[in-house]
Amino acid sequence: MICSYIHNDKYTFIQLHAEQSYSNVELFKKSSLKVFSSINDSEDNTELNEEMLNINNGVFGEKLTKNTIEKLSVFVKHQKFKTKYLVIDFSRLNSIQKNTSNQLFKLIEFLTEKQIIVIYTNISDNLLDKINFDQYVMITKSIEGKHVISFDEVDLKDISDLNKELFQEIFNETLVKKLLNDNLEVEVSKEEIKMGSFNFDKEINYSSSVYLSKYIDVKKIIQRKYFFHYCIYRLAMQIKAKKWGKEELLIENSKNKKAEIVLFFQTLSGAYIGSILSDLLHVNLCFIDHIGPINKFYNSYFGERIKAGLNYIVVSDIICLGTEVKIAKSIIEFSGGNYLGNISILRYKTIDERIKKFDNVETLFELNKETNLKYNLKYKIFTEFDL
Amino acid sequence: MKKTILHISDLHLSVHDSIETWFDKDSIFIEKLTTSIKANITELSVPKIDFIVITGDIANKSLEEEYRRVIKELDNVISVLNLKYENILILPGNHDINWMQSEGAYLGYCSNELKCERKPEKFAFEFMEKYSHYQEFHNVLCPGIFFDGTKAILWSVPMDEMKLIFIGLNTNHHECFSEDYHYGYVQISKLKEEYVELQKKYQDYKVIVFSHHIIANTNSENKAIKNYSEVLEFLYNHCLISTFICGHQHVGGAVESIREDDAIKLCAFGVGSLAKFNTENRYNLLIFENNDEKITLLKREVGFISQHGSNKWIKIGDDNSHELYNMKVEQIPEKLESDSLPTIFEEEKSNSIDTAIIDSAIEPSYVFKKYSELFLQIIRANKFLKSGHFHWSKQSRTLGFIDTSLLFSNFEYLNIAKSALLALIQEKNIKPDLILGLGMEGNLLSGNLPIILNCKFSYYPYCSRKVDHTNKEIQVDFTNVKNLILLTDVTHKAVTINDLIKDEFDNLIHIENIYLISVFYISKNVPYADNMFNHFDERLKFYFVTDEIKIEECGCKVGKENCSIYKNKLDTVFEFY
Repeated sequence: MICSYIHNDKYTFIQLHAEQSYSNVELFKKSSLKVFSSINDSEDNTELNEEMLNINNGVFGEKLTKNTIEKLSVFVKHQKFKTKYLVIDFSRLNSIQKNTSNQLFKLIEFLTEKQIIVIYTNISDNLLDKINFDQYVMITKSIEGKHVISFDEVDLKDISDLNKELFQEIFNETLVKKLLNDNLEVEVSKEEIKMGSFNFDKEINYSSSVYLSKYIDVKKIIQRKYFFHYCIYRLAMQIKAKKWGKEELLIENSKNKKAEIVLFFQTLSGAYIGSILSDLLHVNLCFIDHIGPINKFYNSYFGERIKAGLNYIVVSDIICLGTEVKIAKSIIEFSGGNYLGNISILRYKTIDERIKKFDNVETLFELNKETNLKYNLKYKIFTEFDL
Repeated sequence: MKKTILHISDLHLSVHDSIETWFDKDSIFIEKLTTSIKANITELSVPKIDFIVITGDIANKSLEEEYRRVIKELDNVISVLNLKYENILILPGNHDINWMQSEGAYLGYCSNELKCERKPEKFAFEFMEKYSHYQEFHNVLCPGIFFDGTKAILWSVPMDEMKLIFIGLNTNHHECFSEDYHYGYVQISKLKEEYVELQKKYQDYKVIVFSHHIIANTNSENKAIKNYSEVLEFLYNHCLISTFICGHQHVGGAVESIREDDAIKLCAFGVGSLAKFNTENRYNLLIFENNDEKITLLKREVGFISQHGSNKWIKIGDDNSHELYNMKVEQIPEKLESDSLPTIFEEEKSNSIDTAIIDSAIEPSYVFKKYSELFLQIIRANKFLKSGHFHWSKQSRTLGFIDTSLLFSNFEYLNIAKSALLALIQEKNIKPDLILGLGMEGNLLSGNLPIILNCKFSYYPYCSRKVDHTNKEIQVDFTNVKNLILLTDVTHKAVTINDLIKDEFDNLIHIENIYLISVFYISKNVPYADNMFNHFDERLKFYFVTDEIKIEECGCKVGKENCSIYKNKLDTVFEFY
């Protein structure tokens, strides 16, 4: 099943590197014993090691494998596309497994019969050399050094519109639709409190001492399994690309450099997110059980887990006022670790950045005054002073 | 018509204080035992005990003075119960192998061969001197049965009126002084040969097998008969086999039972040690009764339990009754053409065998042995096994723990665990609709499994910590879930699972299968069976990756107020609830 499938009225996007990253994770899990055994065996299994280690690459893998194209083919055959274009993005893929190109061609043929115009975007020179598309190509264009190939007649303007901003916009809309619209539950309203009809025995599901008009049910978000995994992939890429206040990138390909970042989490949902990120990025984890919504520590010796000198990034599902993150930051720093910043699926921006700037945060979606209005989320934070 | 067996095992009688038994600790132990036996047989309306069967580990080191003491103690028992030696059937266990005799014989042989410049060709276990003291004891107690340690079937006792036959299986073929051979093993070629002879006379008889080592897959080498799958395969195909009764593990209850349509097809169970200190002390009363061509077996387990400052024999749980099932029989040819056994997977045979039997008869796979080895290496290298006094919940307290939060913080080790869990789920052919990650570690272990297995995911805190979580964190949507996996890092007594099932009882009603899947199984005292937690919920099956690490329990009663270490501040207590 494809996780990176997003669309608007005109375009459907699939990001192949996301699919490949999860294929890498899956293939590695299924073949890991061979890897461990071959590493431990005294016989020279260099060739086997090399092949297996290629699979164990998470987001660092740049090779498109047969397994991923098969998944894509199955998806395409069963999916009813309502858009004119199917855009398959090849970013971060630089090679392809042997004898796999044919499958890409079959895909093109199949979709052409269905009258869906296929556009392959962000194909590197290296990859283009390996896949001989020539007989299929109708239009080819170069955008920002990468190739865009269409296999059917297409309006050139429609190709030019394929840019990062469009993609981000569609992603945001999809995120709001899949993760927010259905999962925002009414929590507290001012009117209820003013009129005295609010049930004060009702459990409030957040750690800060404010009223939230809506509560995001994280368990329901996780149930949007495929899209949720795509979100985690994108978060992984954001973590990888950021320097986190250092002079160089901290997370490199694990073959070449030992990861210096530790992902820190403090809730059950954070554990699940952290685990998936760990598979993708090959970074270690650290956690305490638990902070928020109710704070209660069980590990009486958690200080041993935080190593002095290591860099910690706090992983959260949703950051509202940042109370839990602040507690986590204090614990990390008190124990001698370096707090680098925090990442989250959603983050609420509650203060103008001219007053307080957050340099060390990454989020997939910022819920601020503009997005609140744009997507009609009707989200409010208020206190007794607002009543 | 009824036949009653008193089943006892693992006496471990010692004369050198190397091991403590109730024979030493309680001056009226025998009196209490015989009083209890008599009271129970009266209650069960049974006229008398027909046989006492002792399934091994009768002495502790197979010393002559130990066996002399056994005879003295048994004399006291049989005199009260009005029995004679001819009513006693015994089997040797691994502790009835005398290591000194075994080693002496082997080394003597080797030295002779080497003098003759010949390479020794006999294995260490092939020297029958290992049984020398046991054999002398056997000859005193059972003069009517000739003991031959080279045999697979040590004795067979028919009950003609009931068309029943008891056989004593020798599972010590490989046991000897050498560390390489400390496991149960049955010589299959001998078993086949001897059984052909028996079958000539007792073709339609139902067979009850007694053995010392257990006949089930426990994932723990030295507990089960190593080649149990071959033994089972042979006996299924050629006997009206229905029941295995064993010792060795010092625990009773069901070792394995397979149910189909509420009729137990095959049953295997053990019994606790009769008298060894710090184990379950038990005896079984087994009553075979025939009614209208059916034979039923009623099992009553009685335990020596501490109550109000003194120890008494008390009935344990309910009596267990089942019909001895008629298994399919195939004629064994007069001469077996080859040693190869009919495969258990041939279709016409598998129709009569519950697939659960086949599954449980499959040996622990090579894959999980490798994972076990890997985990042991990792835990050893990183010192992840911690000592101390750990209170996990009111009921669950251990004297050590595997620091899984540190272990799974390393992404490589976490990956190994996830791979092992995936392999386990796929090997057991589980198709989950929902994976529920339990606690922080359960959630860590769940990462990416739902997307690989194409199922839903949710999370749940450990039950002992529910009070520290909001309702939203506890609520789970079980809609359309038929197969549920509860994923966790370590299982001990699964108390938290029992609590979860109770708390979510209404939500779980429609679920057909609940699988508890764990990386580690650490309980020292309870032998493994996939339905061992059945008493929490009969849908519950339990699988784990490795049980190589066993952790002692705190021996104090439930509740930290009863924990002497906690009360008297003797050591640091780590509280996790």
